[in-house]
Amino acid sequence: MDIVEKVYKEGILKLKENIPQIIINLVVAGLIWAFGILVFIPIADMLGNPYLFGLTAVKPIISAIIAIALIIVLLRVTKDFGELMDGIADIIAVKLAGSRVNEEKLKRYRRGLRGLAYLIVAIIAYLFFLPVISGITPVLAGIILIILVIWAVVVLINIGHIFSEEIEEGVRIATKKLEEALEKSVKKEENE
Amino acid sequence: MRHKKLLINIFLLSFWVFLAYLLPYYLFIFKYFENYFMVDFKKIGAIFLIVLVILAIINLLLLLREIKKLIKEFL
Repeated sequence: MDIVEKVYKEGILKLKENIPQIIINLVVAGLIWAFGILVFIPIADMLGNPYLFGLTAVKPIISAIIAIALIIVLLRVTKDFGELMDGIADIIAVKLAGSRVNEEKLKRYRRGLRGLAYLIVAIIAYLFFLPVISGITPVLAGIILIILVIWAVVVLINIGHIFSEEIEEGVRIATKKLEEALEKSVKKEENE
Repeated sequence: MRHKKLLINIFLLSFWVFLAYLLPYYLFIFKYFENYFMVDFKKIGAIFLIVLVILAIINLLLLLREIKKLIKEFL
């Protein structure tokens, strides 16, 4: 088995392994969020949000428990999403570079797409935590959003650079082939 | 039964959520006995709610594990 076929098969395997896990983890995160925001926190309100042992109210305790559970699930999603992006990077590398694929290119692709994966998970996490953060202070939500936008721009520029190099190489090879074909046709005309 | 654990987890999860949903209503009834038992039922209800939240989250995570097993079997 040559390296191209091996990389492609590995990529497909990573895709098959990680997609169902990501979907299940996201569904569970959604359920935790929905139960927390729509069921448990309103019940704490209905109870009159009493103070426990004179220390803290019930609502922040429930919010903290839900936040911890969400963080655990979202960390799992991050790990699986990173592996999924490795698989996608492998497939893209094989499709774009073909026989020119090597370890260095694979590493570059994986790094770029992993950055994109982390950004997507951060945006999903931001959407989950938005009610909690804006409950603390709306300014904090705005600052985090600005940081996310800057991070997104940096990641997209990086990915653009990675693929532009590959496209440049592809164009160079194509023009070389075209020149060779032109030379051949010119020689043929001269002979005739 | 093949997926016994999955069904038990789904049943338990809905049970905890149902119990939490009804909590303010049965606390309302218990309030009438507050003078006999000499306890603050509001605080007990709050602690019970926290326990229910933890149980529901644990059940959700167990449910996740069972579904993962099911999907592995399926694939």
